[in-house]
Amino acid sequence: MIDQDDFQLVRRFKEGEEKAFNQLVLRHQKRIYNLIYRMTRNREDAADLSLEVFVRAYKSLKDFEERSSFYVWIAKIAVNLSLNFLKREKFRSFLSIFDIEERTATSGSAAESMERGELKLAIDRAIRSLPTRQRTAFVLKYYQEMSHQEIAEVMEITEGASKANYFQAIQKLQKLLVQYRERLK
Amino acid sequence: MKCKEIHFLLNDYFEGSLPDEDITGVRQHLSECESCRLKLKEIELIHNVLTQDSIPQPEENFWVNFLPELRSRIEEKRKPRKILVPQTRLALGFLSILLVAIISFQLFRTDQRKLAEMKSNQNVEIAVADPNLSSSADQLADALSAESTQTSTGGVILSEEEKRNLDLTGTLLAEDYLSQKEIGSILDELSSEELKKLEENINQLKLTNIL
Repeated sequence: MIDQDDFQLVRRFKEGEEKAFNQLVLRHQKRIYNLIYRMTRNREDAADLSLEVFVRAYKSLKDFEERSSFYVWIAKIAVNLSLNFLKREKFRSFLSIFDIEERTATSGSAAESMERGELKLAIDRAIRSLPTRQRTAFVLKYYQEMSHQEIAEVMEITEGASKANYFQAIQKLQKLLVQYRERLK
Repeated sequence: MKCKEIHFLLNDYFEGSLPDEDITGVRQHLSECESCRLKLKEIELIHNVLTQDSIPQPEENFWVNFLPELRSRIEEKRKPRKILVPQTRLALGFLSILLVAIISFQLFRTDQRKLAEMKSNQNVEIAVADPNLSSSADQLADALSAESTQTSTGGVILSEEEKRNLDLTGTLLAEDYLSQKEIGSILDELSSEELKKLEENINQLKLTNIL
């Protein structure tokens, strides 16, 4: 039903109704923000990239051919932007390790920092340590509740590869987070 | 099923996404295998941890301003970029060519200077390498480095006699010297008579005047 409504809005937009695009944005903006936050683990970056996702979507919506759901299509833009962002971050960290560490440590408000306990930091570190393909498959499956077929579409891989990446991500997270739990004992 | 196969299925089993045909096999294995039961417990704990990973919300008003901000970004990108007028393009092209020419010239000059340094260094090395020829080669090196000093500074003026002596030395060595051949090997090829003549020529040079 949601997909059909999305398709309707896309068609209306293609026919020149600008407001239809606004409707699409309002429907998906929060889920896209969540997806990008899970990928980047930074609130400000997630907010900025969410806007950029919809700018890109606006520019290329005329090419959307309804082969997948609108959300899968826009999630693909979000994932690609996040991965490019992470690549740039990695490159920057080569140039200035200290800047990145400082930025990560101070991201979010003071209240949020108080909230972020050791557990949150442990999850942060664990997810950050995953290779990008595993991280993407994990975020899309675990937090976005996409099927492996949808993940395969977003990541342009096979369903089997999606399952394998997700499995490896879970295995790694288990190892990392069990270590954390044992340290707390 | 083996434990390794079960491990691969346990997560899907926990999430409830395992196909029916595999569920029976997994349950059967779990009832018999203590370590796989522990593994399942671990998966459950990790899922509990991961579900506690909340998402911090963006700054206040972010969602209220989302659409206006988005629209302004879209408009910004829609604006045509300023296209340079032909005259400006021409000027920029000319400047680029000029810049390349200046850089090339500077590099060429640096190369020439390095070449001159290499030549004088080579003379010193020869003197160290061949003790038999050390005295004459030392003098030769001095003479040649003095020659390069003169060339590079342009501030030293030689007398006619000195110029003649230097020319004679140059006649013997110039071709191979300029083609970067090692001077040591050239001196080896000289007969004792030629070597003596060379030594005399060098001795006649008033090096103090040059230096």
